[in-house]
Amino acid sequence: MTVRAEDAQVHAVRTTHAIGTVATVVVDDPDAADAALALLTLELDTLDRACSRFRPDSELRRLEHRGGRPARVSPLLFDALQTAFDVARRTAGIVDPTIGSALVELGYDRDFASLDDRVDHADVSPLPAPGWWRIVLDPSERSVAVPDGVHIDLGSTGKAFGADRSAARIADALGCGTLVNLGGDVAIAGLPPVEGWGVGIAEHCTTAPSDAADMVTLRHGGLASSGTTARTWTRGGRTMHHIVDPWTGAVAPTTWAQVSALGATCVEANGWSTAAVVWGEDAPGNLIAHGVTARLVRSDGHVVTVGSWPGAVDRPRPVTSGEGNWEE
Amino acid sequence: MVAPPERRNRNDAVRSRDEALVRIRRATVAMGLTASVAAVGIGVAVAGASVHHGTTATTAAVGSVTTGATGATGATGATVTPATTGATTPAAITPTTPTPKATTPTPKATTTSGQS
Repeated sequence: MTVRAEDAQVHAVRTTHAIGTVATVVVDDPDAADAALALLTLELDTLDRACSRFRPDSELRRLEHRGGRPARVSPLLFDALQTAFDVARRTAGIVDPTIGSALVELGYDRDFASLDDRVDHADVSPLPAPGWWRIVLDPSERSVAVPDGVHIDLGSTGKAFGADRSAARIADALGCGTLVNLGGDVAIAGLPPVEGWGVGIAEHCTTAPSDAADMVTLRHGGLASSGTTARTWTRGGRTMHHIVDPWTGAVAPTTWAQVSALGATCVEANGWSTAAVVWGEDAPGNLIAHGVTARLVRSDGHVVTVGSWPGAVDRPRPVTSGEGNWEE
Repeated sequence: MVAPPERRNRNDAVRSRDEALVRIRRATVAMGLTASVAAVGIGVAVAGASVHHGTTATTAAVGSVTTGATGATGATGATVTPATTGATTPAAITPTTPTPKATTPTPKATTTSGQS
């Protein structure tokens, strides 16, 4: 199909801050933009109340204090947990939602905004995750039983889950093509623009799209980026980041500064991008084995692409470029 | 104490080296012949394409294909110069009508995926 550049649609972008990150909604109907932002804000507030690890009044936190007794939960929390378990299963436990205690031990025990400049000299004794399989989900009763001592963190899949869910809800309610970006986790819903949704790839999701190092076009599915150079803090004289190897409880290796992956949904994309960081040197091979398309940036800046990611393989990063503003 | 390795008989060594050279010559000649056949094939194909596009065919030799190596023992490779095929080289082909390109405009990125 031949499409003229002037036929390209006009998009409206709205941005807010929620669930500890930057939230953006893009719609292909400028008249629907404000309503889309209102829906996104409502969705994320609901998500935060149900799934936050940091809010003592969240449904998730209250669930953890029932001493292992099953409790009926909201459809939202049940879906979020089922999604996290599905990702854990598909990544063979590499992306495990029971890393809550491991993160607390590493020092990530509060909302990141309060943690940013903190330097903690405490010794670190990594705590392996107890394992998602210890939690019992009962779909017939929509109940959940969390054993004592198991601390759930939905930080990995939660954002992607929220992006998929919000995009679908906004597209359904407003009848427009919708893109939702929650801190780099991108989901689309509704009819995409004829030319697709252009999404820039950069080290930080706050980088202007025009300054992005790379760009992909999304027509379906989702895109997510995970990395080891943002959300860092210092503990015991060591730099920590928020991606944990559940088998050891230690921070994942810094082989990759960032991994961006595509998936059938944003949740799937996020599962692979997070798993890739934990896999370290094995990531390209494992991603290929799972048929994943991804872009991996080594800690020295070299870029490796797998699957059908557009562009060349092993493109070195120019030494003159700055962080978050790479030039190909 | 470790016994010194047996030295090979000098005549055996020379014979095996000669046999190796013969094998190399045979292989090189075979490569040269294969290359010449391929070159003639390309020439025929290009000539066909030129006629199809209605361009003026410039008669030219496809070129000489030289394979093999010249060693101390003499020329071992085959130098093959195919006969003139009446073909044009690919660079000489100029389509009469440029093919229109169907392009989808690259979307302008509206958001960025990265770490938060």
